[in-house]
Amino acid sequence: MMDQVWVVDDDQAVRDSLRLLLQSEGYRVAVFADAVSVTRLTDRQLADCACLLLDIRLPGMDGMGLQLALAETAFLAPIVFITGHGDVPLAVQAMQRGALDFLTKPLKDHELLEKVAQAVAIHRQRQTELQSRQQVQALIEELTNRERQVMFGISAGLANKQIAAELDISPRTVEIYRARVMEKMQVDSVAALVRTLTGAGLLDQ
Amino acid sequence: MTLDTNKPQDHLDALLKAAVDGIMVIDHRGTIQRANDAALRLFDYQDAGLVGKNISRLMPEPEASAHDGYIEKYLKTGEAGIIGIGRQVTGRRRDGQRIPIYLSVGQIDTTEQPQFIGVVRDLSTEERIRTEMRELEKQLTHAGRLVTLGEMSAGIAHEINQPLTAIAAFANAAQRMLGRNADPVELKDICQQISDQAHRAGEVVNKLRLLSRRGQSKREPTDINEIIRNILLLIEYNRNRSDIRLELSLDNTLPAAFADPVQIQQVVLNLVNNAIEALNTSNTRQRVVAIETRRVGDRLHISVTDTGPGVPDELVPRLFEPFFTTKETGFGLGLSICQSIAQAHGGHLYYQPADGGGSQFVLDLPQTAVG
Repeated sequence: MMDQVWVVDDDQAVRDSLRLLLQSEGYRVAVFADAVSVTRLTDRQLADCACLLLDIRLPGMDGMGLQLALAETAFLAPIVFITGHGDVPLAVQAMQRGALDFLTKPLKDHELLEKVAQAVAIHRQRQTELQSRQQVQALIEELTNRERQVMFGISAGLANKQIAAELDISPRTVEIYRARVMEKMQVDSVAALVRTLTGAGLLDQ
Repeated sequence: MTLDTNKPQDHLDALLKAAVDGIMVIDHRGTIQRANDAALRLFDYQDAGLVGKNISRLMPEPEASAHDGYIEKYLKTGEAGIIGIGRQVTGRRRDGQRIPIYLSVGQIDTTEQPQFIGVVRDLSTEERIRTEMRELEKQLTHAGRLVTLGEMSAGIAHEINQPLTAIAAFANAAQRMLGRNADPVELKDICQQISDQAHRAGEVVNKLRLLSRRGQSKREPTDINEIIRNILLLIEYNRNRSDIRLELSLDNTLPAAFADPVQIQQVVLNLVNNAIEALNTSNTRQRVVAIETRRVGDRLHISVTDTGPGVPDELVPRLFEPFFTTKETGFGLGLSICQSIAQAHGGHLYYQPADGGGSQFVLDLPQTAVG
């Protein structure tokens, strides 16, 4: 199921009220009373989450702990911390570790819903990127070693002659590899190749 | 002035002049016969002089009017209120200002009517210091409470923010549902939830009010177990955060203590926070704070025990010293204030190593007098 908003808070009233509020905005909502139950989920289940509303202060593993634990998994959803005033220094630390934002209790509804919408949008974008990266990686899997070497030579802006010298093959052979790389990577120009590789995170900008 | 010890009269004059305390001689009618410089200074009679005036002039009312009768009565019956003894009384300066003095009076036996010698010491400074000390003590107790409050503020914010968060979110959800012809039954349920949460927040505030109250200590029959249950809320936050197990062992047959509930609450809260802190700054695997109440003879014992590292032997004697602390952020006042509260209650606070190496603090209090 897509675009779920997850709420982790040890207070039942907070869970119930946030669930109701988010549902009234049309989100699917799942709630958890502690961090540990989230860590027990499978990667497949974790993939359902599009935005994680996470209380910093929780019994047992706290919100920060869960943030660190999720960083080790394939979890893609942005984390929005919800905190009391006393926890702001912790929240700042959580931001430094990549949280989307932190909201202080009691929550302002427009702020909360804005953040949730932003998180969901970011999550969708991350998913798209992940998919395209997986596609590109699948294409690269089909290349031979030599073809891969030639591809990275081309995308680094090297001329055929330079690539030929480096790989100790003839420029003519490079020409052939080059045509095969373009075909297998489904691109018709060097610019398109660079774009594809950059988009998949395989090249620095 | 050089003293010639061969002239007794000079010698006496010199001694009187040099004395720091005021010295006066009065006759059986209360008329002042001699007064040294210190006495003149003390009562502000340097210019006017005191000799020939009645001693009652140096007393405020109603003592002044009663004084003549007093000497007479003493001479007849030998019944002494102050003669032969000394005590703190109030004197009156020339400008009418009252001053605390320590007065001792001795009888001079003569061949004729007896005379009396009075030695007067000014207690204004001591009195002022005592008043200041009392004020300071009150401030310290208040400061101690504020420190405790400061430490607890994160917990308090959390306890109040939880219901507020729920209230806000419930209300926002209801608002949205109302725009879409929501089910009245569902809306009614939401209103109920909002009301419940508001009361929950109110309860927290009620409990806090007790803590922030300042003023005179008062004594009333106090249920110690109830006090402990009330502070659990405040402890809960720190405890939860640190993953500490709390063990309560409250003696249900515990009689009431004659105590100031707020102060006792403060002491227990301090002890529990110390225990939590001790566990947090150590790597003990077992993390337990135990609060126990029990009756020991005609005393009540409240003990707070932790499974932390305990207090090193060399520090134990200094535990209750004011401004002694091992914490980086502490004032070193907590235990010292707790001790003074305990003592003001006719009890005391002591430390002993707990079984297994942790700390145990015991607050020993008298129970309400029976009957």
